[in-house]
Amino acid sequence: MKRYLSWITLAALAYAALSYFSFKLPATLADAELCGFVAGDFNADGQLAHAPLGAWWISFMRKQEYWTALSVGLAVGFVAHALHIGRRAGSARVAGAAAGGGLLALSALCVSCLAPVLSAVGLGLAGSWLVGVPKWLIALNTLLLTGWGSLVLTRRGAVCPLPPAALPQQYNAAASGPSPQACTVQNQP
Amino acid sequence: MNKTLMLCCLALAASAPTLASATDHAQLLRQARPDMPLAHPLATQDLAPPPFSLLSERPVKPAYVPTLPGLRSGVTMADDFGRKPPKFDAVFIRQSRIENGEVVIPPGGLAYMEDTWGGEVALRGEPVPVLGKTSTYVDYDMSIVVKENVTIPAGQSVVVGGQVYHYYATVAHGQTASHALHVRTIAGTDWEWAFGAPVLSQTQPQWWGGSQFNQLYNQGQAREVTREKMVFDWLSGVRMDRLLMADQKLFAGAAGAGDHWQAGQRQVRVAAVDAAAGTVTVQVLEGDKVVFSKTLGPVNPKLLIEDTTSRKRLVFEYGDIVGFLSPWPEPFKDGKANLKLYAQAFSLNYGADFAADKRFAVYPVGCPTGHNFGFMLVNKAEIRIKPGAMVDGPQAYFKIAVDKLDGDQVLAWHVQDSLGNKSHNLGGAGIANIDLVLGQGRVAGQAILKDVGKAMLERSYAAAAPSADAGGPLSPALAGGLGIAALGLFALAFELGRRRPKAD
Repeated sequence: MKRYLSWITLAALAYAALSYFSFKLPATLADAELCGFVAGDFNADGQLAHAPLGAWWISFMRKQEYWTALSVGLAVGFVAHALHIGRRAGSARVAGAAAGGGLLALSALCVSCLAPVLSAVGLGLAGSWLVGVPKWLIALNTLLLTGWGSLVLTRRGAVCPLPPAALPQQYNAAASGPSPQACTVQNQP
Repeated sequence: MNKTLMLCCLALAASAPTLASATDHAQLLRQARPDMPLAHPLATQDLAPPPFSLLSERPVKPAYVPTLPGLRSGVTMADDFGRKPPKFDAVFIRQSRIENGEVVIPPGGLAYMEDTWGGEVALRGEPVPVLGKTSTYVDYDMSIVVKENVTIPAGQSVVVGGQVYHYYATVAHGQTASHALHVRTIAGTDWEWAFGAPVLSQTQPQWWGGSQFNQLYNQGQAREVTREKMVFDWLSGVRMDRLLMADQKLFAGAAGAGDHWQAGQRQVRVAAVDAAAGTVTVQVLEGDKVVFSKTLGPVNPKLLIEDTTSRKRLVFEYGDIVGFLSPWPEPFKDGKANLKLYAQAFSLNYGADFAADKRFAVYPVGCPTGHNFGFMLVNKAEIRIKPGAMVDGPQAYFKIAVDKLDGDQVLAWHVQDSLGNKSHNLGGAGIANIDLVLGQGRVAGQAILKDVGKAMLERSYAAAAPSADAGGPLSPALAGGLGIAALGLFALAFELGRRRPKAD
């Protein structure tokens, strides 16, 4: 659990760092408006009256990018968790979970402030559809779906031990729970 | 002139930066042909432009109002020769904000503009709207401002005279690049439709114009052009220093020696006509005393009407009485002079108070051809509007009303004309200012769209779209998002339910 939370935190912080390094101080008021700034943020010379770090933080908060950071953290953390559990939960199930987590992260990125930077990979199209979905709802959905996915993977991982060939010899004798054969049967629909 | 007025004039002259230089700017500027003199004199003072002339100071996410019934939109008024460029009223609000429960418009933030579609031309009897009245445009004073060592960072703009130079774009081609410069007026008139946009390049010497450009008397010579900046040895821009207008027509037609007209207590008289020399002498009399006399002409058709010397030779001014020897269709016929006389003349001077409403300063807008492209009236002092209050535009020609504020949002505000016709509510949730573009003329309906059109469209669309807060239907995306949340909640609850130990 501690490792899972670490992945979430690291991924969220990585998103925030990416957001900071891709942030450019807007040169015009029209550009500034897109970043969440208002006329009062400019001085009499028409320049943004904030240092780069402060300007990024103001933009990050006003554009509610903390929801995106949370969504990306949850989704990436879930993918890492699924890959870590690995074959114990069944390879198809893990692949599906990883793909689902990736999709969730992608949907969060579509409506993030990084979307214009990443538009070369086609995020803009999806973003234009998702623009009507508030960032808090995307974060909530990510929390619910990754929470459900984590519970399923944890349950399956606990039920199905790794096959003997995947474990060191000394653990084979001590392996408990149903046999791999029983698990295979149990997995069938 | 009394002593106080003289002292004021001297103080004003002393406060304006001079344009003195060791370089003879007349030698820098390029004439259209070697035999043509500079049409306008060089400016000796650098007068401050109106606030918010730079590109970075355009209205922020403004509301757009096409027009109101009591304002002009596409109104045509023929001059003495049948030319009738459409006239529009425009209103701009720039950099407004909410502060301490009031809406604040900074000095220069509210601008009325007489926004003509075509150039206004002197000596043609052209009618020009001045708010609620129509005056006749008689003559003008234009000068050329030259500034040395001017740097324009990429994406930024500078003002020279009445013109705004904007370093707009760099376009790379292999290891070379060209650099586009857009030229606008202080009002935002974009000269691209008339003159194109200058393109400079030091790495493509066989294309473009190299490091220099001409747009008539808007000219420049660059010494460094890079992706980061343009550095000019010098830049020039024309400035419309004064429009001479008149409200009363005294006479227009053939006038012979001895003809006279009454203008209040004064009389305007033709003292002599010399058709062979191409001149007519006009006098103004107060009682029996001749208080003014000037010989007008001869006409120099090759240099009219832009050439200041040739034009001023045809015009006289005495107080509020003005007139000119009309060069068209012909200055003399059958021994008589083609004379046009006006009374109740007044001037619109660049940067001076608008006499009819001194809360506003006036800025004529000049074209490098020598034509005029309307004038601006901008507020001199900060304007503060409390909710429920309204403020008059110049001469109450229009009003700005703030109806309802909520924290940092303007929930309701409108603009209305002098007849009481109101725009629809321009406020709403998320609207943080009362920035405005009103009109359909050359600036409000065309040039400024390049700068703020996208923001205006987004704002208009958002205002028109039903919002979830207003109880409107859910968008498909939002409905999908809520559906996924419901499914996720169900799946989570189901999974948690499975984990509860079963009772034996």
